[in-house]
Amino acid sequence: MLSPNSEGSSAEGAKGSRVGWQASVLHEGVLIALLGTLILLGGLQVLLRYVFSSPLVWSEEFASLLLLWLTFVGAAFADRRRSHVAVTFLLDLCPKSVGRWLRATWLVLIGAFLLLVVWQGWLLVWMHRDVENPALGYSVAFGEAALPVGAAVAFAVTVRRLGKLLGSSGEVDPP
Amino acid sequence: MTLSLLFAIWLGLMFGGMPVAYSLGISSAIYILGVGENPIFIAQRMVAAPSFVLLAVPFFLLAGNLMNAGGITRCLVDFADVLVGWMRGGLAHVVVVTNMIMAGMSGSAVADATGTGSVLIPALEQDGYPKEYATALVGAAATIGPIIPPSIPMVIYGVTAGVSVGALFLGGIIPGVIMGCALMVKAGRDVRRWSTFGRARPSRREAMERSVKALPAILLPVIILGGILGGAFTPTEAAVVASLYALFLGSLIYRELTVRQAIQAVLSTCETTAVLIYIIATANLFGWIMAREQMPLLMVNFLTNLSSNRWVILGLLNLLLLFLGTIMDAAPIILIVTPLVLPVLAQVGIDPVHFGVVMVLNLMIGTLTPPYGILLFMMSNLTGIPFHRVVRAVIPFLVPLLVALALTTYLPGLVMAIPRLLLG
Repeated sequence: MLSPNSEGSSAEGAKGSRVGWQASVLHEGVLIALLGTLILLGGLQVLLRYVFSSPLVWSEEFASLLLLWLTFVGAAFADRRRSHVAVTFLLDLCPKSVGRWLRATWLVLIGAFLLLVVWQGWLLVWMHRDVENPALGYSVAFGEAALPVGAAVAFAVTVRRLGKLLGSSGEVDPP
Repeated sequence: MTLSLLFAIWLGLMFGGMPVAYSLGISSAIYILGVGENPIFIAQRMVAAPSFVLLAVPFFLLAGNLMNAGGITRCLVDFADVLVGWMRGGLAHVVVVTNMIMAGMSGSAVADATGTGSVLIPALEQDGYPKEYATALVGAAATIGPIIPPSIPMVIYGVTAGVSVGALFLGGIIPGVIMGCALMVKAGRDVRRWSTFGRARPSRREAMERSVKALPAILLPVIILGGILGGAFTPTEAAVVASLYALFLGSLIYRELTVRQAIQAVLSTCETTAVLIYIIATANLFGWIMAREQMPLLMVNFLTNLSSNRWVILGLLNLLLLFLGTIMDAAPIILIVTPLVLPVLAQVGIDPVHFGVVMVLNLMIGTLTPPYGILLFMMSNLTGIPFHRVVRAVIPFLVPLLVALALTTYLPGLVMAIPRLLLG
């Protein structure tokens, strides 16, 4: 029903190819590092504010930047693990061949959407390259770059899944 | 015309099996390209979504995941057993009370249902409850999670409506307790059918032991609420403290949390956070189109033409939200509907804090209503019971929840008393 989240570690799910396995481990590592940094930063901020009453001025902005990366890199990870929330009961009722073509169509549409997001996201980043974030002293584009980068990774994952789906004999692959 | 086409494409994609986030994003992109709007808005609206306040989301999720992995959930179940296990239908009451305590620590219904379901459904079966009933009961009780603070949907509403998240949190306390009581009344009546009686009362010594063991965990809601109440913590800081405290409890006090489990909890938090905020990002785009099409104005005109009485308007809004809850997830509804109804609220004099709690309660009932009900999907996954049988078992539990909704809607004092008392 709900796209299952039962593949365990994605590293296990992609044992087939070495490159795929390495990419999965890297993907997991980046996400863990992002959330880990957020936790440390949050803890540090609470400590500094309540114990030493001298909060960091840049921590909110930096945390927002990390959250942007966590969201869009994590969304690509969810594509990899097929854990985006989807309503699949009608799809499951379809005959196998119809279901397979529907899934392939959805993957093509998702791929096209992701390409559009990569392109427009890049334009946005380019447009904002000189807009400075006052608290951090860096361009806001560093945070916004998460969108095109995450979408590009998600595009690669989607193409790979489409290839697998078309190459297979119609095994279940919930989009 | 263009709007109905937008809705048709979106619903077609979503019920065709495309992930919810992509169905919102793709239908919006088709609209934007179709009307000749600059497609850079797609990127702009999507990056605008992950704002600072939403940082509370990963931390509240992490707190829930760490509690489930670190043995805290089990310890709370033992404690709830001491409190209400001896009553007739003991274990059913334990389910509700555990969820009420869990609700004070985690902000997500799905995390609560996973944690309490995996411990309590097997135990309920052992006590002679049918598996479907046990599943439905856990699902219904998990809806209390985001009503009793902390609450992820309330954070999202607070951000969208520009309302104090602290006030919303406080407003949820009494409605959450009412939901719990309503479910316990229902469970107490049901239990006559299966002649399950109260469980053996634990010895005084054992009761003491369990309570002492649960004490450090029970402190967590006190820290969270106390911190927010005293104005010391922002919701995000409270969430940080909650997850660090859960980590501390699981690893050093209960000593059930291994490094491997902690990493799994972090990774699954990343994944759930991304899935949720990605939906928020694409819903943000969809919501922008609603604004561009002047939907808020249409909404005001439509509703105020029907009636200018605020109780009637509230009733209509409840019906709208219950309907939307059957086809959509809570987060996109909050993002898309809130800006549409805020002007209506202002016009007829409904407090946005009161409405926020009513809205979240509606949407939690929506997690239990088909065709789109996230808790239904999740419970079916967790127990292996087919979807339609979970639906059938859940329906009777909607009655006590709807009673709680009616009380919360038409007695605004229930919501507003605590925020007024403590925040003025």
